Order: sequence, then structure tokens, then C-alpha cells
Amino acid sequence: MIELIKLISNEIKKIMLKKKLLLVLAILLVEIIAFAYGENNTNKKTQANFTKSQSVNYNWNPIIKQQIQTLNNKLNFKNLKDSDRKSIEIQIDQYNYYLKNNINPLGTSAAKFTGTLMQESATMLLPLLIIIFAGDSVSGEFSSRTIKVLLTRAVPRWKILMSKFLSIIIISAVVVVETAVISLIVSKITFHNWGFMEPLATGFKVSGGKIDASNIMEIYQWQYLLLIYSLGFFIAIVIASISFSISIFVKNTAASISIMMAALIGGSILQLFIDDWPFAKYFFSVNLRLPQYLTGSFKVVDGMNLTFSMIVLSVWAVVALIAGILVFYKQDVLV
Amino acid sequence: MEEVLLLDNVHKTINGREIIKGISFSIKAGEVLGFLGPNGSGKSTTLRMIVGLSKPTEGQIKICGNSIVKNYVKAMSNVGCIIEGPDLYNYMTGWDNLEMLAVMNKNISKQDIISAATIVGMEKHLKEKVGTYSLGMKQRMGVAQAIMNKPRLLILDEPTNGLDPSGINEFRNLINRFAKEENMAVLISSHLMSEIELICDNVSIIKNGAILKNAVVKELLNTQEVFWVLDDNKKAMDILNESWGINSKIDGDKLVASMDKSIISEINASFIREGLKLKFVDNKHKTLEDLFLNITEN
Repeated sequence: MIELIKLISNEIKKIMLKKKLLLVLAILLVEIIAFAYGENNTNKKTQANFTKSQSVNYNWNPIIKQQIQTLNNKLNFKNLKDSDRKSIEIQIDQYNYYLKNNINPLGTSAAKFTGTLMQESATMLLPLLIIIFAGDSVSGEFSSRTIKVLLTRAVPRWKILMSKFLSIIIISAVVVVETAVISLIVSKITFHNWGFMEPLATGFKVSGGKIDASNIMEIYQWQYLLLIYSLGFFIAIVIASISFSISIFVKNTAASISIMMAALIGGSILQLFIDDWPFAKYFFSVNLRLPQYLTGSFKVVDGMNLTFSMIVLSVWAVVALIAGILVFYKQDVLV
Repeated sequence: MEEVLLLDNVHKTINGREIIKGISFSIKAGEVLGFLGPNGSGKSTTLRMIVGLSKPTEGQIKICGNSIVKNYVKAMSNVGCIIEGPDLYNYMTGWDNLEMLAVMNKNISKQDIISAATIVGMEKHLKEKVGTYSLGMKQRMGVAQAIMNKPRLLILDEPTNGLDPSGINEFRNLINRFAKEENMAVLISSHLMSEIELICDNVSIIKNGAILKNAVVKELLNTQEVFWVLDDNKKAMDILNESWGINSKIDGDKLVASMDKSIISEINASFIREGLKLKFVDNKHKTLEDLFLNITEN
């Protein structure tokens, strides 16, 4: 056990000395600053347009009060469905929150920005960051031929492989947390309020080809963030497993990164055909939109929901790992 | 004395072709075995099978009695090796490299690392990145990582590649010390005949995946080739055969025989007594290289 821990810390040291973590941090910083600036810019323009078209300054208090009034009226309708009632109640809570905290409803908070960031990055940006070091862990040792010096120790191959995999998992967790932290800091500076206690709705289901909101519930932004970043960590582990195994097969870092990127891009294009090609939904990269399931903002495809996608991803990860371990164990090292 | 390394009828087939065709040899403690062969003969393949980088298709490989396939960890804990180049992590310092490899073994202390580095003369360069080392320095670091765990079997694949003459000299002294003082069994694969001659006790010559000859270096080198140029070589050949019992042959204008150098003056005297005129007598110092070329080209 202690030996495994020492091996894992060796592997983490290698990743850090190769400056991969630094690269990931740099990419995150640049992208997040760009997104924050972009969103802020759009908000400002929207307000400016409002002022231009209404010839009055954008003052949200009366608008909110009016919205609350309208929604309260809706609550009194006789034939109101339960699901609609819940939906309206949550909206009222949201507006009350804005009112109480004197927050611009058109604006963004740090928490909201961070949540949206993970939502949008789960399919492409986050996987790329993981692939940067997962795809290099084994391949890099083959390219530099250091695999020989690593494997001619009194340590069985499976232990060395496991230490590499576990080190990747640990670094993936660090990357996910880093994403959240950098995002919160940058967006707090840009948008000025944290927004952790803002209410929102989740619990959307798909039934009969439509989004079913009958079981939605109200949670706070900070709870939503925890949920979403946990899903992000799950996605990170799956991507890490698959690229780890690919790097064992091809033994070349550039090739393994390219193969994974191709799979990810292919997945995002396959989204267009999913309706007419049911088989496509078993491909791993079309199932990466896990956070979207939570917010109900996804295109409804028959049979695809959070459970389905998580199962598909898990199966892909496990099969990839088993294949990778077997190949690594049996192969002759010829470099 | 128990064998430190034992290969028994080892075969290796790759893609349907048999590359190693039943190799057997052994090394005892304190012995230095030279593994010689032309390129493509299977030296590297064999060495890789010994350290577990490749798996033999058939046959046994045992290190200190432990099978490399069945008892990998026990077998490898007695081994230090460099296989085709001292490939260490270029982006880490010498010290980090050694330390990182040392923690993979339970028994290597910080002191062991320092003394290994000192033995190879690299103790002053440990804080620099391996990527900045010269080839000679990298080779020395390679030896350091191989001896850190005080192995009983040292396997060196082409270890003098890139070393300058003084480096080679140092290296020879190191191997001597490891074998004679630390009683390590050493297996060296090399093309540098002159060095094998000076370092090794025994040689195994391999070609096309099979061992052509196992020999003791001293015996090989004592056999000297002497040649004479006389006015009647044929008569001299008869004299050698009848009076001295030495087989010889006529090669162009020379009479050539393999024999012990010490009796040459007496033989010369007997030629002259029989009325022959002696023009030239010399011995051709047979090197391992001559032997090697001889054997592998037949």
C-alpha cells in the first residue's frame, strides 16, 4: 500500500515537472477571463439597448415587482396544473431574491457563471484539459524510452499502471476544483456578487418525448454547483480512462490526443443525427452533456436521460481500462 | 556455487518467426560474461527477456533461483540493468531521477543513492537536469541507477557506447571492482572487442538466435598463431609434424601454426639444424575480434 502511494507521488511529480498542470491552469485562466469579459459585455449591451429603445434608464425594481404580481395572479387560476404551480412558485422565489438583494436579474452572478461554465465545458473544454495529461502518461514514457527504466524495477507491471491511473484521477479532481475556483474568483471580480443563495429549478425528466417538469424542485445555486461539478468530475474520470487506454495502445502522445479530440468532435456532430440513428446514442462523446440534464435545457432524444448517459459512460470507461491493462501487461517493450 | 543467472532452452517467436532458437547459458557470482554477436543476432532480445521487458515463448530464465516469469518481483530485486541506452527522465535532475527510482524498491536508502552516484563520479552533477548531461554523463548515471540496490546480477547492454577512452578505462575498473570486490555477476553485451577482452572472464558468441560458442577468454587468447617464411616450407611442415607433433598449414609463402609461443626458439633452432634457411618468424596476435569475425562469418 505504501509502495503504491510512493509510486503515485512519483507519477504526480512527473506530471508537474513536465509543466502539464501549469499549461492547464494557463488555458483555464485565459478562457475564463475571455468568457467573463464576453458575458459582461453582452449584459452591458443589452441594458444599453433597453435604455435606447425605452428612452428610460434600465431600472429593474418596478419590472420585477410587476412580474411578481403577474405570477401571483397566475397562481390563482382554477385549472392550474401541479407542475406549472411549482414552476411558477420557483420563479416567484427567484424574483423575490433579486428584489431582496437588489440584484439586476439580467446580470450574472459568480455562482451562475461558474455553473454555466461547467455546463458548457463538459463536452469539449474539460475533456481537452484532462486529455492533455491522461493521453501522455503512458505514451510519454514510450516516446522518451524511459519506460524501460520504469519497468525494470522490482515492482509488478500492474502496480505501475495503477499508480499512473490513480495519479491521473487525482490530477483530474484538482483540475475540476481549479476550474471552479478560478471561475468564482474571476467572475466575482467581473460581476460583483456571489449569488450562492439564488434559487433555481432542477429535476426535469423526459417522458413521452417532452420535458416533464412535474417533479421539479427548488435548490440553491451552491447546491447546484456541487452537483454540476461532481458530474464534471465523473466526466473527467471517464475521459481519463478512455484516453489512458488509447495512449497504451498507440504509445504516442500526439496520436492519442488526436484520436480523443476526433472522438469528441465527432460526438458533437453526431448530436445532429441522433434522432434518426438510434445506435449513435451509445457512443461515449454524445453522452457528455450531463449537466444539461439537470437544468432541462437539452434536446430531447428518446431513451436518453441522466441515468442512461451515466451508464453508457461507465461501461465505456471500464471496458477501455480493462483492455488497456491487458494489453500493457502482455506486450513486449521494444523501445 | 549457485548460478546467479540461468537460461535454459529459451525460445522466442515473434510474428511466426523464431528469433531466439533455444539459448542456454549461466553466470556465477563474481563472473563477468561477455555476450557477443553481430547486429540482429538476438542479443538485445535475450537481454530484454532476462529483465522481463519481453516474455520468452518457451524455456526458463532464473535469477538467483527465481523465475522471471513466475516470481518477477523476487527475481528483479537482485538485478540492476541498462538496456540499450541510459534513458532517464531528461526534465528531472540527476538526483530526482535516482530518488524516484529508489523509492520503487523498499531497501534503498538515501545513502545508497549518494554512494552509487559517487562510485560513478557523478556526485557533483546531481542537481542538474539530465537533459543537460553529455552522453558519457548519462551513461554513468545509467550505471548508478543500476547499482543502487546492490544487485547480485548486473546486466549492461552496450554500456561503453559514447564513452571516451578515459571513460572506457574507468568503466573497466568499475566492472572489475563490482565483480571482484562486490562479487556481482556481470553480463555485458558489446561490440567493443578490445574491451570485452580486457573485462570479461567468459564469452558467449551468438548469431541468428543461437549460441555458436561458449569460451573462456584466457584460453582463447593464449592460442597464438605463429608463422614462418623459410626457403622450404614443405620440409619445415614435415619437421613440425614429426618432431614436434604440431599441425601446420602452408598459406601462400607462409607456414602457419597455432601453438604455444614459448617453444619458438627451439623450433627455429631445429629448422636451422636441418639445413633450412629462416627468412621470417613472427606471431600474429589473435584478438577476440579475429576470433569473432572468424566464427560469425562461417
